[in-house]
Amino acid sequence: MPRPFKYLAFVRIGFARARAEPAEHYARVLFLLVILGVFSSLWRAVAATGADVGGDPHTFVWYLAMTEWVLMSAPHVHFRIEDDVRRGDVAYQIVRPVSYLAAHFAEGVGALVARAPVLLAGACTGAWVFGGAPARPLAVGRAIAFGCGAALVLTSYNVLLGLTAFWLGDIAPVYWIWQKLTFVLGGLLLPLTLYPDLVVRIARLTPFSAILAGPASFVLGRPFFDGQTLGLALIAWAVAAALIAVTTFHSIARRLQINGG
Amino acid sequence: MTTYIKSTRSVLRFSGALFATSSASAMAQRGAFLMQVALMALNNAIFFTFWIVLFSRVSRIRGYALSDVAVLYGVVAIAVGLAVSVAGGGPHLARFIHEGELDAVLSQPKPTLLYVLGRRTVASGIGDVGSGIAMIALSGIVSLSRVPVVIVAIVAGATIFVASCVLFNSIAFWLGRIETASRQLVESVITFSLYPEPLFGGAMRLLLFTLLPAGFVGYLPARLARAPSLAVTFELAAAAVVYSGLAWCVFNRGLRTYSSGSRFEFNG
Repeated sequence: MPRPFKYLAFVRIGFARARAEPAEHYARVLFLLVILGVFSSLWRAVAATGADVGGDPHTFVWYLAMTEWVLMSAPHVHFRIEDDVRRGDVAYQIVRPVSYLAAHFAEGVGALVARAPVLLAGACTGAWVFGGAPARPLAVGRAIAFGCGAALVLTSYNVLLGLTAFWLGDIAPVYWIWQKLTFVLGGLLLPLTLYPDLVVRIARLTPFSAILAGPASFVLGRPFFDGQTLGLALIAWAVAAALIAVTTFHSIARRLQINGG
Repeated sequence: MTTYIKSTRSVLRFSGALFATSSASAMAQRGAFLMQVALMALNNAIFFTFWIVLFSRVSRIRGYALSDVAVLYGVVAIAVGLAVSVAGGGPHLARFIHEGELDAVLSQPKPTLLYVLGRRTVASGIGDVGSGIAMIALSGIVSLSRVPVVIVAIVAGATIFVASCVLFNSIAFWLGRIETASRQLVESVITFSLYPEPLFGGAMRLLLFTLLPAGFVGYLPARLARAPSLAVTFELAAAAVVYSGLAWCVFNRGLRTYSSGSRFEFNG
């Protein structure tokens, strides 16, 4: 089979697997709605104090809908890699005539294609119900377009995260830290502009700001990056993830072949 | 009566032994155990930065100051940490049911639910407990004299959290594979309980004191920690009894419909 088609098959597998578990989609949508409900209440309460938080509560709900949509759409491929390592399946998977990393990424893309539209519908409905109609509909469209790319980049970082299982066995603790860095440096719940300058400066040097705050901040009317910079940043961070993953996996595979799986 | 006391003692002894065994198993890999504990504490600290940033812009949100949120967060972290340390099987119950993992414990002489809940200790729970204690201490509004009340409140919150895990996961007896849905319901309880009580009113408030008992896991225990009151203590104790009883009944009713996974495994 020609090379790209092999991976297309993995995309199809990922898509079919994700579609086979509709309950998971609904549960995620439900959780997304819960988060939007909680935060719309919180932002309304903050607005009632009269404090200047740099925006109105309705726009903040749309911002949160976009960041959560990107974050929740990216499939947890890292846990699949962890399973492979734990069960020892990786020993036979790396000798297959496909790249282990590319296969997992392709499966992740398939799951993303199945999951993202459902979550997007949930996010937009939730944001509309809790925050009202978007103040800038075109900006929401822009956020969605860049959000699709950002979710792909996040999937590639999830693959990278999964590789830590070769050293740690259990990746949950690393995942929590990764998740919380996404939370702060990505501006998941609060727009990055509300954080102290130092945090904002650090955030700009990480992929988190490009992945979450980048696309979502379009709906605030004060984008964290302009469109062109964000596009380039997402490409650069995707290339960085791919390079680190390939180099790391190369040394892992060599060690596995010498010492056994 | 004597028989009842004897059997209760026996169950308590068994619970203690089960906890000791599962803790020893969790600590077998000391490095990984310590790392999970430390990273969970760090995880909670990072999450709390959200509130620090928000309260740097507003002094109070519907009567809640940063110190009140710290108490709420601390109480919930300790309750959830305690629950997953002592009854770590609770959040995974749906998977045990769906994959037939109850087979191995059905023939055991002690109550099945107790066995299933206590057979696992989640190491990160200790990190939750540690960070929760730190947050309550740093809040500066809980004096040492209130510690016994806080302990009662936390134990009640932990009991209700375990009961809600059992209730949400027991749906698997009737609906099959619902792990993700039950996990999201459990996470919703934690999520809601971490935000100030006055944010939610009307139907939402009713929901948080019934179907998603975040009110009993977070709000009432935190209220008790901030201002001890006999009435709230009784409310909380009553809720713990009701939810535990309900969880016990639903699980045992579900157990009647349980079909074996034909699993064979050794239990040490």
